[in-house]
Amino acid sequence: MSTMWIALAAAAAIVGSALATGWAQSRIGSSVAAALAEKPELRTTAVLMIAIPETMVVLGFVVAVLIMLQGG
Amino acid sequence: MIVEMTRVRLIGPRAALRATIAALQGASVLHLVDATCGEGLRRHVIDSCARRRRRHVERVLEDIERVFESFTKLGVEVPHAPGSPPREGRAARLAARLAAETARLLARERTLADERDALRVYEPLFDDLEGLLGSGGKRRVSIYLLLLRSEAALEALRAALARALGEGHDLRTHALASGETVVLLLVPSTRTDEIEQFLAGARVERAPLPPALASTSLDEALPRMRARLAEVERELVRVRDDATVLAREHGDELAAARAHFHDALVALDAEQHAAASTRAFVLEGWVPARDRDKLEESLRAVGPEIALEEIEESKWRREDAPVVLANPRLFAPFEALTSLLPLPRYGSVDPTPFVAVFFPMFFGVVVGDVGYGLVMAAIAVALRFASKPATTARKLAKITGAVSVYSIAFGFLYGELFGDLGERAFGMHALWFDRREAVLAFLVLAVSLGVVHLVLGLIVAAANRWQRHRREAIGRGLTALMLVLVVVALLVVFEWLPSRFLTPIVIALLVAFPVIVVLEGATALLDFMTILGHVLSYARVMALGTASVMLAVVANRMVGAFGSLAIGIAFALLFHLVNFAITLFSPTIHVMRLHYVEFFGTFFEPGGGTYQPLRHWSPERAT
Repeated sequence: MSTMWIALAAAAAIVGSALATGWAQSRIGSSVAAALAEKPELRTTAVLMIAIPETMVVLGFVVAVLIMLQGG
Repeated sequence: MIVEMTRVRLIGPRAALRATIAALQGASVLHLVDATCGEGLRRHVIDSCARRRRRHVERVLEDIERVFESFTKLGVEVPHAPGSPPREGRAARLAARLAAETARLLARERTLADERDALRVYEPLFDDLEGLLGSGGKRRVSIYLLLLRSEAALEALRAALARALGEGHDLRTHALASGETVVLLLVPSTRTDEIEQFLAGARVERAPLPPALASTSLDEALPRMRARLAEVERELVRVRDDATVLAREHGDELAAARAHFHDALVALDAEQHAAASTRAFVLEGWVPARDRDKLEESLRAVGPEIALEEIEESKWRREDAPVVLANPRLFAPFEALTSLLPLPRYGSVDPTPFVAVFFPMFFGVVVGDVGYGLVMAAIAVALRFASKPATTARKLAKITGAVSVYSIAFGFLYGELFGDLGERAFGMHALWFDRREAVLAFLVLAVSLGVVHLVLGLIVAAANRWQRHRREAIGRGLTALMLVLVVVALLVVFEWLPSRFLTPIVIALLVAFPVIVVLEGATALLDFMTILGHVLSYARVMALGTASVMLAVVANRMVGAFGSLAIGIAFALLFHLVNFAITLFSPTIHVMRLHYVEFFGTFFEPGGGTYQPLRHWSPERAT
């Protein structure tokens, strides 16, 4: 039973952060696409902007790993 | 590295201004800016003679560019052997004549190409038509060429004809690339009136005949189409041959004239940067300090009356200086990665050497597989021999070579060759740790690399700002120290260091916080928290690395997962291929991001101007 809860907790950490990252990137992506249509020279800034929310899912992954390790 | 620049002022007799500008174009080292006016100096006025010359040069250049454009559209390459500058009058007349001739050839080519395209619409029906007309069928059947806009219209026509004529007709179709359909409709001659009425009622469009045959009837035009198409093709070849002859005869002269007149225009533009008194001119600009001798030498060729003086640093702003990057051969290819961001401001730090060291290293930490590293090395070698020097492909080859070396090295440290294949087939063992088992060790490695990377960035920022912004430099240094203290405190908490260190560290941090707020303002605290977040962001190195090795292991397991060994191997190879593609793409993006967002955020100052020395025009630079 506890193994199941550990797995679920780890999954929840990943799912929550992945959804949040996806939502943030979708919002940033659409805005960036509009900005690039007007100013193509902003492409590098655009890539950086889109990349920033990825930290959330990385942290989610780390939390999941820690949960798994703590839970044995 | 950012090359040291010198701001210089050139002074000479006004009559020597054009000769000086010509010499500067030859030297190709001076980035001109508007000369400072004052004390009897005013902006150099362009007289009516210079304005007339400018108009003339622009007109001739317009003709020359039109000729080159026409040659390009006609698919003719202009041969170009660098020659001596042409006489201007002769070159202008030649350009005008060639502009008219090539425009005529281009117009003829367009007309013929249109006709050829129109005839090609009917080409697939030529055999059917010749069969019908040659067998005397023309007398028994009537022929209609129709154009339908969609598949639905074709189906509707089929159904309507079946209802109106029953079996007594033949419909042959040819779909065009445009989505339209050309239809050849054959009906008995006896039913001509009936079908004419039907087509008019249904408003079916007749396919237009090519322009050259438009004045003839369909019966007359159809047998001539194939011959006309061949004739048009021959005519097109003749037009291109004529253009090729023109290009061969005048290409060298035209290319020399093009360069000459572009140079003249650049020189006229350069004159506008000058300041002048009644007798003297002044030019100002930036020159890389290493090229100052070259500049002096070129000015000596103009005459001893041209004086060059250096403007002392206190009289100019560093942010106005253009930026030239010059890195050792080993680091230079990585300028391709830093060039994706704006240039660093003059006087700040060029991040290229840091990227050259850390980018391949982080990439290797993520990939860490001898097999994948060897494949990357093979790609790098292939790219090296397939690319020309100083191209982006050559730079990419060198970067790929560097990342492959690190991937192989970390592969040995992790004991990986195509995942666990090395272990299973050759008994390969990790020299450091096994990433599949030691997830926590890998996480610690990733975060430690982040700490080192960011502390280095903060130290670089402190050192760079020390002369200009002492307060800011101390703030950056203190931030680096606090980051190290936080890491040591964590090591104590996790009992990797003795607990006696904790109290002094906490006290040091409590003292450092107000100091940093005094030095950099209240936002310094927010900056520090952001930097701590950035450290954790390096955990992605572990996340990507673990995902990469697990995918490789899954690929290897496929060999035994299917009944047939061959199918298993095929699936394993396919999976490795997918993993390799991900391995190339994903670490590149993420490691670049770690540099651009996390690392550069500590010291990088964008906003440097591009160095554009006054020099001779060349078609390569123009494109």
